[in-house]
Amino acid sequence: MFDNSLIRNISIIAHIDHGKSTLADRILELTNSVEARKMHAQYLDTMEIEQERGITIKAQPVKILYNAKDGKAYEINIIDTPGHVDFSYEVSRSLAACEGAILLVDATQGVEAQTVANAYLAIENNLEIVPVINKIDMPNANVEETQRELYDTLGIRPEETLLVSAKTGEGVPELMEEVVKRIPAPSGSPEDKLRALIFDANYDPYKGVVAHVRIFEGKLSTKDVIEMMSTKATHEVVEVGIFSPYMTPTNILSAGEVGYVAASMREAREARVGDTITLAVNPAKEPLPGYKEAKPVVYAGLYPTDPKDYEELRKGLERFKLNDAAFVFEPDNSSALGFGFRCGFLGLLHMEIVVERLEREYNLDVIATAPNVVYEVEMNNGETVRITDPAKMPKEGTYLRIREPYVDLSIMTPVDTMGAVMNFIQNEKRGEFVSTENAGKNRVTLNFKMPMSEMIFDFFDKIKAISHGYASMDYDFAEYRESKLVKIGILVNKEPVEALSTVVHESKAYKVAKALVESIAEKMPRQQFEIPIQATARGRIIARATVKAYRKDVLAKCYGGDVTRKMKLLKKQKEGKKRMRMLGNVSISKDVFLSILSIGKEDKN
Amino acid sequence: MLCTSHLKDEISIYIHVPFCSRKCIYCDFASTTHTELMKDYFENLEKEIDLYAGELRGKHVKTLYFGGGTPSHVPIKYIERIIEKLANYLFLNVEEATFEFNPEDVKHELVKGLFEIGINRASIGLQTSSDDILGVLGRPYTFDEFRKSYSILRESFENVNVDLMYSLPFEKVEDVEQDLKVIEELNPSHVSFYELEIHEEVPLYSMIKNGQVRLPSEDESEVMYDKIVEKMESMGYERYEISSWTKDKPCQHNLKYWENEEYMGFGLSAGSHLLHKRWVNTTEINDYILKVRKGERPTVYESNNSDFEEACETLFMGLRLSDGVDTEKMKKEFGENFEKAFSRIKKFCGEILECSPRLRLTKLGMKFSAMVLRELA
Ligand code: SF4
Repeated sequence: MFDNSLIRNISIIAHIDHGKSTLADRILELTNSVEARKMHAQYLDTMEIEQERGITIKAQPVKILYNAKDGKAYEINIIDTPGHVDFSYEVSRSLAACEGAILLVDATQGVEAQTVANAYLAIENNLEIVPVINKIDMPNANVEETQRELYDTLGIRPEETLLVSAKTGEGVPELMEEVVKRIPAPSGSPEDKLRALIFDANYDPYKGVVAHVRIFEGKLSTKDVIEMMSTKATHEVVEVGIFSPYMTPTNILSAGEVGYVAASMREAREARVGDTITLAVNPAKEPLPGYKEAKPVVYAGLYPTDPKDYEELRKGLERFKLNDAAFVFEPDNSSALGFGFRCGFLGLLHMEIVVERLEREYNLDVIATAPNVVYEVEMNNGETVRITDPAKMPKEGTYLRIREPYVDLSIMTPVDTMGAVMNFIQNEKRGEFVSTENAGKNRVTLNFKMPMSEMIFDFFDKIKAISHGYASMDYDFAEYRESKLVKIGILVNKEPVEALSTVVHESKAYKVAKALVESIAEKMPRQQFEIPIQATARGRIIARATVKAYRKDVLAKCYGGDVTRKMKLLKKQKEGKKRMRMLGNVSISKDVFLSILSIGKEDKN
Repeated sequence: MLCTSHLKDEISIYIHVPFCSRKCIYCDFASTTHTELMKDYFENLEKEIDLYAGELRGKHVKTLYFGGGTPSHVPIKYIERIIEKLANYLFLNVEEATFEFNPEDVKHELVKGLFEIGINRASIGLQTSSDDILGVLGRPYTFDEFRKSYSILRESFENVNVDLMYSLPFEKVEDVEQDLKVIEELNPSHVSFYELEIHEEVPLYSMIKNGQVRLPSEDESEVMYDKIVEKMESMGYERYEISSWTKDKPCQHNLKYWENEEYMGFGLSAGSHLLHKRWVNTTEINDYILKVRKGERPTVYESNNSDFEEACETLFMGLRLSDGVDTEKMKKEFGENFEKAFSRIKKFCGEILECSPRLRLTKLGMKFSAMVLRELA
């Protein structure tokens, strides 16, 4: 039987680029974990695209053995955390599986808002934090200022911080010693009733859904019948094992250990992150705290660019869902876009990841409509409905009130840009200022409550611009609040185009309506006749733009050798026109159609 | 009767010279800056002409055109040799022999030499009179330098065409107005005005995509177009084709293209039209040299046009001309194939297309030529 006191379960909290991967690699090297290093390298390769874009998807947990100076060999489980704000719940569950965390901060860049938010999550989960300042070998490292920021933002005293260079390896052995010393061993007893936390899951074509678990109390073996405490669903365990570093079957997992469970589960929602596994025959009384059902907060329509790919898209979405319980979708159709799906995501980035992976991994060309948040509408009959598609907003007069989601938003920014950030959030984004805190010598943290919908358009890029690239931010869903919202509908040549409708705050209706019709008109190719583009709200036309008749279309140059080429070119154009999409009763080319649909969609690249 | 019979022994000849001193950022012509290939290229160009001895022998050349690239960029000896080679097979009783120049190459000696070997029409590419825009386009001369070159040309040639473009990067309506003033002052006998077309393969395309370069809006571009059409007319130029204006006579060589007559082109990317056959040469210079060296015709496209295709092409080209096409003549020549081709564009009859007695684009229709011509493609 394994000795609990020799286990350490840890996470590494770090902002993108602050050296998490390099540090992990250094630790694997130090502990002679050859296979794990290979896997890590591979993981880095596969995640290259995500990393390029500053998104890190989660790596598998890894178990290593560390021979400490006290002569004992410690089993250390390193659990990765996803690197983006849309996944803060998943981060919190990964952290909950640990007793401690290495908080890694780059001495050349200082503390970032998301790191602070994640460190708070760790503190809330009672984790012991080992603060580490990285990249001390760099000429522009500013250790003192970083220490000061850590103190200002998290109350971490300078003497607690360890200094390392993950690149050169300096300070890493000392760090490992401190991990063993400072981070407590897990405490639960194998004799208690089983409680295992699912902190992640993946889909394996042979094993089905594999839950990554941390056993808190009790033990778990093959053939056990387990119960998911949130749904009461039961499954027979087919395999349990550890990550050493590949999935390696063992007979049993005991309190304190980290491993995996396969139980012939076919769907991601059968193993929900945050859920507690217990035994069906002798169940625990209470689940582990902190379980939340991951609810999508942002919706968008996904349509195949080519209608004949509908089935393919459905298959892709289904396969995708196997790996991602937070992602939901249902069939939808729109007169402009044909058949597709209405999909829910944890956030904008989650949406982008899904669309990108659909395109990359499943080779599908999809059209994503501009995203929107989920509104709660209290109908006249007292019923509350969740509206995930602005086109389906109930008619004026049929409801009592609408509520929209707000986020707690914190932005860390240099002091000299504070005024501009405040002004932007309060005057342009309907945000409410809550509080401010110091965050180092020349930096502050600004806390706001802000409607989530305000983040969808024109937000991230603006904040970056206003702060000259220095701001970092974190946000989390806060609450639903009643709001004076109106639906803006768009008429193209007097025909409503539902796919273009949107919901905005009353105070912004005119501005948004005007911008919308103007950008649509600008993108519409001119036709043989004038086309009005109108925006309506509360049954009235509140903005109008006109697409002029005829578009100059001069075939500029054409000589002898050119005839064939010119004709081919025009033929291509003509064929392109045959595959026209209808917008209202006007047919336009696919490109224009796509660019109109993406009006207002922010490019976060 | 006389007319058609001698038509058959008449042919127009085009020679492509694919060398330039520098590559313009919008250029999608077959052109290269690798002047080290010149010798090889011209050797093979002569060979290519040999490969068509059968088709050429005994014909009369009424128009000859050296285009590019930049013909003025190569030593005149190459041009002389090509003309000698042509003379081996053809009767060169040429009425119009055009040579294209870029301003940076125009030298007294070259111009005189060309005049002496029989060139009687010059075409010079100005593109814009704005030095700033010339810089953006990557064209290696200033307007002042152009002006000098132009006057050198005028010393030898009466018939000079100036090429201009509009809708250029960063161009404003005032720039086009300035171009028109320049025309007024220089008073060339022939002017071509092209709208800039941007093809995906050229550097300008990506510069626009990533926001380095701004193009005039559709509206601005339309104002430019209207200004050009209006001002050229008021200066006494006759617009005889979508992009061509003249004070004297149309370019005879280009007319052959637009009238879908017979012509043969030699060199990179050159196209030919003979006895309802159409073929086009490769645009890759290495490909060209290797093929010809092996004794192969360097074509990448060959088609034996059906009567219907021929009718479509004849309409396609003919509608570029202000006079359009002669409906009766087309009917006689193509019969129901003409009706079939015509039916594709019938819907434009009225404001856009004048449908009898001749079939031609109206003044308004010229502005939407692609919309109409697309239907024939
Ligand atoms: S001069 Fe003409 S052929 Fe030469 S690079 Fe410029 S556009 Fe191309």
